[in-house]
Amino acid sequence: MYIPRAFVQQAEFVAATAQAANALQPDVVRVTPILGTDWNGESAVFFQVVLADGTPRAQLLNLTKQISWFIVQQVQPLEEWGVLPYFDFSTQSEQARIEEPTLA
Amino acid sequence: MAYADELLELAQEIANLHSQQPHQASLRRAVSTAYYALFHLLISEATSNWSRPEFRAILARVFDHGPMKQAADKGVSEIQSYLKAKPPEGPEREAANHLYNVANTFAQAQYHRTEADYNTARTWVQMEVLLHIEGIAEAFKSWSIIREKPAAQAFLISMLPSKERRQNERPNPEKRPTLLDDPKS
Repeated sequence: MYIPRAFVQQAEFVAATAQAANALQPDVVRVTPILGTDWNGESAVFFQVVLADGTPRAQLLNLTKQISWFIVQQVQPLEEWGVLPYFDFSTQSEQARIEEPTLA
Repeated sequence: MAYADELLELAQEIANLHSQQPHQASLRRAVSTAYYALFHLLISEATSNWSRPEFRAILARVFDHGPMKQAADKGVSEIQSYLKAKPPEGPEREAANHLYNVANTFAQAQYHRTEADYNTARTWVQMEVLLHIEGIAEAFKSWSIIREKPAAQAFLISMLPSKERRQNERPNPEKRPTLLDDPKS
């Protein structure tokens, strides 16, 4: 059974992601890599990227493209770690709202 | 208006329903519809090569999400390798950038579509949904620029299910659990 390197050496994989995320400051607040499988059963990493507030709306799409390209080039999830990369983006304020506890 | 364009327009409309307080159902349907817009764009582009229009809809049924995703992943990987070598500016590199945009957007959109359709634990935010739709609209534009290029046409063909891919996907019958299996063994 083939186990991707990202699963075997998770700490190293997280460190590689953190290194890429650091280079993306101040646009990126944090990048959380979550390992799992996609719907097709392929080993995957789901990068949860939280963007700093304040990027003009018109620039957001380009920014997310640049960030995902940079992370893929730096970390090389598929080539070096054997996992398909997927990306989810949110802004810091949106993320705070989602994580806010509800009373209901 | 072509079906794929209608779907993209519909996705935008659904995402903007209840704009004061967007409903999760609307946002989820918008993400899913936007994916299907790109899915049907690529299929219609592939089947338009078939010279008899009356058979194109039948041919379209051959395409499937899994093989199309595998082809997109392969395309993304190959174009990344090409671009990493920093090829000179020119039409070839520009075409590669556009094809990368189409293939990568398709792969990501399919992931988001499964999330939107099946992961009910996830909360969607309108801004994120609108960004997904904008990304797919940009993939439409990229495609319109490169649609006649040999690499773009080869990409469409690569999305057809192949015998090799089917064999790889087929589960080994010896390993499939059945109701007759003894759980203690």
